[in-house]
Amino acid sequence: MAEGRLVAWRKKEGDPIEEGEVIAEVETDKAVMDLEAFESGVLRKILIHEGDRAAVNTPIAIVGSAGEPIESLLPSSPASSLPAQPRPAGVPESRPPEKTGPSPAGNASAEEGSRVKASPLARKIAAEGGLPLSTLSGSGPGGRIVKQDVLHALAGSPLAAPAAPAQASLGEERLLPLSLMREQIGARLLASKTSIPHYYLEIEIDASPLLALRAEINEALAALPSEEKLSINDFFLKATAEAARRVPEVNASWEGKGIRQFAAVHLAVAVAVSDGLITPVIRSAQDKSLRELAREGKELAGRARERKLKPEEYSGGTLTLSNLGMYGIESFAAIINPPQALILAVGALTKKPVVDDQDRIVVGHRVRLVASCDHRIVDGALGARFLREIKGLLERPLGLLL
Amino acid sequence: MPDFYDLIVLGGGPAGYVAALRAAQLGQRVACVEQEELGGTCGNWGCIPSKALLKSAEVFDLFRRAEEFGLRSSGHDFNFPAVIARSRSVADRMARGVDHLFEARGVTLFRGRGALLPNRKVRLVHGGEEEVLAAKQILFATGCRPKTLPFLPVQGERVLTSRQALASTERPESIAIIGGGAIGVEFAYFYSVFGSRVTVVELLPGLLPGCDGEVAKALARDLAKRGIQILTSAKVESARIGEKSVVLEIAGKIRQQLEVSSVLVAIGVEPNIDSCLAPGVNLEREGGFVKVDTRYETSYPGVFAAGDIIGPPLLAHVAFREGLEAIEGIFVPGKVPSRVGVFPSCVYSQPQVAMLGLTEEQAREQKLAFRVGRYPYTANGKAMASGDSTGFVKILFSEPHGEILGAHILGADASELVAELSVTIACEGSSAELHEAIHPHPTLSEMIGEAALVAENRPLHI
Repeated sequence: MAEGRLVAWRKKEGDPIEEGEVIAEVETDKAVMDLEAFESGVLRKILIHEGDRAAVNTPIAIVGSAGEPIESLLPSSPASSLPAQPRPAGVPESRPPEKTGPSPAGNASAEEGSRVKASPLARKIAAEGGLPLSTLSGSGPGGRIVKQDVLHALAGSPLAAPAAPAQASLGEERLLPLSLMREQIGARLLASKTSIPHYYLEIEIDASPLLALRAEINEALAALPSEEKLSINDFFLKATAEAARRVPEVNASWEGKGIRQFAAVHLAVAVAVSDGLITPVIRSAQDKSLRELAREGKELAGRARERKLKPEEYSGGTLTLSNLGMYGIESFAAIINPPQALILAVGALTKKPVVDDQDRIVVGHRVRLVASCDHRIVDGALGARFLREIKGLLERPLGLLL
Repeated sequence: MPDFYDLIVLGGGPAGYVAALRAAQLGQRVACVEQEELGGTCGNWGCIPSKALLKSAEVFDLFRRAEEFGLRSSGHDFNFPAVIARSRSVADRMARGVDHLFEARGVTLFRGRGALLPNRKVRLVHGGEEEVLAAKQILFATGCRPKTLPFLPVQGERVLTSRQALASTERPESIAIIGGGAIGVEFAYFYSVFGSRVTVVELLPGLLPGCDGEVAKALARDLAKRGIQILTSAKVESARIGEKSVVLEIAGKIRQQLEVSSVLVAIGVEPNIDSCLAPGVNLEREGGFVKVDTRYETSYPGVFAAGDIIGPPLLAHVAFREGLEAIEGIFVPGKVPSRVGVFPSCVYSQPQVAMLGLTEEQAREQKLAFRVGRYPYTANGKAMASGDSTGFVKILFSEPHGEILGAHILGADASELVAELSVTIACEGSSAELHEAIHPHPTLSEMIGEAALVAENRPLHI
């Protein structure tokens, strides 16, 4: 996180403000968040206007008492995104405080869910700056996040500044600076694909019973006052969580000296956002009903697209589901979301000729699933058992309602 | 056809021998050229033999305090030549140790004078014979030698540098030590224990220039109690070297003449450059030392340099690290070498001095917000039990995070104690980690945890 955008002011100049009151909305690289006032007073002067970007630690406004002279605090160019000199009294940083500060016991990182390695000093400074450690990559020994990494992130590095929204046109070569999110996707997925021994298992699901059940449920739901509707994907969420409960060996992580098998299925769901990808996590998915999963999945995906997720909502996943069916992709193999052991890729629902149990060629509804597995943890037979569970659950879908 | 190596290291001191060993460990074909013993100044004419001398002094000093411990000893005396001989034998053992390491790792040692030729070649002169060695890379690690004063040429038993002092078996009746840095202070302590009348003449206003002022002052008080005369802000302007004595003309707060049986010149060191370059080879320099870039490469491509030759801090442990960094930068793919940042330095007089990071003066100058945690040896059980009540631990912690900015210890085993702080800084620990870690009781190390508590205004034992 190097800079943010001021989305909207909730207060105007001259308004009294209370400590803890929401005064503005700011957009970080991952989310849009409410910015609370750190001190009470009067909003004397707005320095960063709606829609403008500012580097972290740039004063965005001056808060003081009503008659206090503030001229000396005014920067020479008010909308400048250059880090300003001493912060005027009472001006909050352009970063919302987050209760989910890194805990000494180890915080989960954005797409990894592993323990974040950081020095005590880095933790303190990051917590104070409201900077989730999971958004940083460490430059210390073994990728440990050190003080310098946090300071760089807080100060804003020129590399992380998004490109000016110039119109893309062919024939013009450009170097697009990496956003923090892109940098992280690059680092994580490169590490995953190059360090995890991936292999792939593909299976085809007969989706006809599922479609019939879904139609029936949606009809029933339509009669209810709520506007609920289940998608095919919701059944996949439920089937994946349930299959992982039955085959817990896949719900695990390689830790070098051992394999950590998780006690709960924290199901991460890949969601495409405007300039990247994020994987919000449905916690303890194995204990949630189909409707609960559907509701939570939609809600998280919605907020992911609006970039309003809190760090704990996109970290700590133990298994990931990725679905490109809506784009007409019949099947694909995804890259494992480290440090997880398995990612399940769901393809499009297709109508195709199939041979039924009486050897007749009929019209079938099929979905192809590809599991990418970490062979260090999930051997072929184990991965196959997991897929067989999912197939069984989806082809006799009444069980998913239990 | 000259012999061809992956690496030739010029100089077998701390930077050079460690670099050679590491390169060999990385599977390279390595040669090292050294004209004397392996181990360099540190192993032969510095750190190690001086510590051997100081241990003799410490033990003798303890003899004198026997009654304090309920012991009676009579007739204790010293044999000065034997003290020196022990020191030499320790140094020899260290040098042989490096010889063995070279053999075990397959580093080829060439004894003789080496000079850098162009195109990554080295001319080796040994017993009148000449040979040219060639390598893909060269590490220039020729170190430094003691500086002398023009009017005080090194001469017999009268005018010495640390190098002669370490070998001289004659105990001076009286000695003037020019320079109150680490070497000057250590020899002052050493000679005073063995009964020499010692005068330290320092140009700057305090001992141990660069040391925390509070520590330097306390040390000066302690040395003065031993009967060492300390003249600060004083300059030796001229000298008359006689048959039996040297008369120094000293300009300080007062102008005075000082007649002593020996003079030790300990005003610093100068790099061994020119004698190690063949005619026509000229490495770019900076402040008299060899200039290197961030990868320790000199102005000659493929020629790297590390250790004292690239300038301060002139410390063996800094040289070790520089040698390693330079070699790994050359031979380990992807390695980005780093330059030494925070490093400890120690003085092995009694009391010892150990320092790390910023002094209080520097922290003030940089206008940093900080707290000081001080803890005296007198409040530590182990120190009292051992009769080591002199000194204190002083740690500077940043506000508000408690980052360790600097640490300064005066007292027994200060050099051992400071290592804990070095590790904590490397791990970016803070005052909290220092007092949360359990220190064994009773040890001197408890003072570190207590100093951290002092800085947080909640000391327990003071």
